[in-house]
Amino acid sequence: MDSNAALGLAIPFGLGIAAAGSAIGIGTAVKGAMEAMGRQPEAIGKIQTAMIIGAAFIEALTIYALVLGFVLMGKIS
Amino acid sequence: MLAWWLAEHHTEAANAAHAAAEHGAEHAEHIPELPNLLGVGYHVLSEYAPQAADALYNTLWRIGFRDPMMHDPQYTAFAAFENVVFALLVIIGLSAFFISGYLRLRRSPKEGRLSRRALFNEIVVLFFDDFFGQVLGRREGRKHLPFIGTLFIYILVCNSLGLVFLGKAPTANLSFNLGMAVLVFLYVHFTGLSRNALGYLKHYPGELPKVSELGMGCAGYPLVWFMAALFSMIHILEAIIQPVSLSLRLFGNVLGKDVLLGVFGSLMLVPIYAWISFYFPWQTPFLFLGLLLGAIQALIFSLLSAIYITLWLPHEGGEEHA
Repeated sequence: MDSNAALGLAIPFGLGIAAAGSAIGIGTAVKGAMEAMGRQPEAIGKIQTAMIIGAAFIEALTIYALVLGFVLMGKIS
Repeated sequence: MLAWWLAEHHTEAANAAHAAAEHGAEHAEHIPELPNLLGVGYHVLSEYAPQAADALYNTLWRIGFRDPMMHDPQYTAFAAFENVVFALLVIIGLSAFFISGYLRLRRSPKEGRLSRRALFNEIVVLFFDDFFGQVLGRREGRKHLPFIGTLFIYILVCNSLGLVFLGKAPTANLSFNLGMAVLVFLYVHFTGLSRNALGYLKHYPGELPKVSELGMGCAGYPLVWFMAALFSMIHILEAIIQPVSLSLRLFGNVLGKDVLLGVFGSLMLVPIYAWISFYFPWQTPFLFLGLLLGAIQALIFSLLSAIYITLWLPHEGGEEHA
């Protein structure tokens, strides 16, 4: 198969796998945050801030895959 | 039969839409974005005065503006120029706003007569003092507050420029973010050097166990040297990866948001007859998502810089090694 077909097959798969991985990660993080919020409702503000920051870290890994997708999309002739 | 006829008309309409979509956006083969002020101006100029447009483009190319990553090669100099112009606009606007607040603060010394702009300055600075004081500690936080606070406000406003009607976010460019990340890298290591003097180099191998404590006698020496080399490599790699990941995170988020807005904004409402199609602002719900993501990414960038600075300060607590 030529490179265009290979890229066209690989880029969406790669992005899908990256998205699935980060979905699992963020789901676990938010689950922990929800449980902590349920146990101590007066600390909801701090827990929420920490949860947002953690989610942004995990999401960054998917964004790396997205950037790679953008770069490779330009190489499909 | 009816479906085939509809499909044929839709293809016609799609072709017409494709040709018309190039009116504001760039060429079809690269990533679509919303049109911005300078792009529209350049397009109008190239239609009505092509020689002036060519002369402008050649001048920009010779000065050295390049943006090879996201635009097709015929447009790259002007794309870089757009980023620089918008960044300069942000700088001038923000400086004027906050400096005017500072001047009003100095002009009215009585407590009860502070103007609103000076109070806004105070609100902003106190927010940073609270938030980054938790990471850096009160005393150190005050020293590094200008740098980190400026990063936060600058990235926030730059990200939000992509949501304004005829604006483009300069942070949607990798070179721009890499510049900021390199600046953070230099600041962090300069702070580390000036605080730790020669202890700066001791951070890299980390805390190694003494050979006499290992209980292996003579064979302890190669082990400790091996551990020193391994940890040094890990820490050097970490120091290199930090600016790369900072810049890529911000770049990917903002570019993704811009592309999302561009793709949705260039969808045309095409009913059955192609000649009554028009543009509709489909991207409106995503503007709020873009605002939220821009704020979060600005916070992440500045918070990570603060954490990196904290890691290099003289030890108050234990440091975790890989």
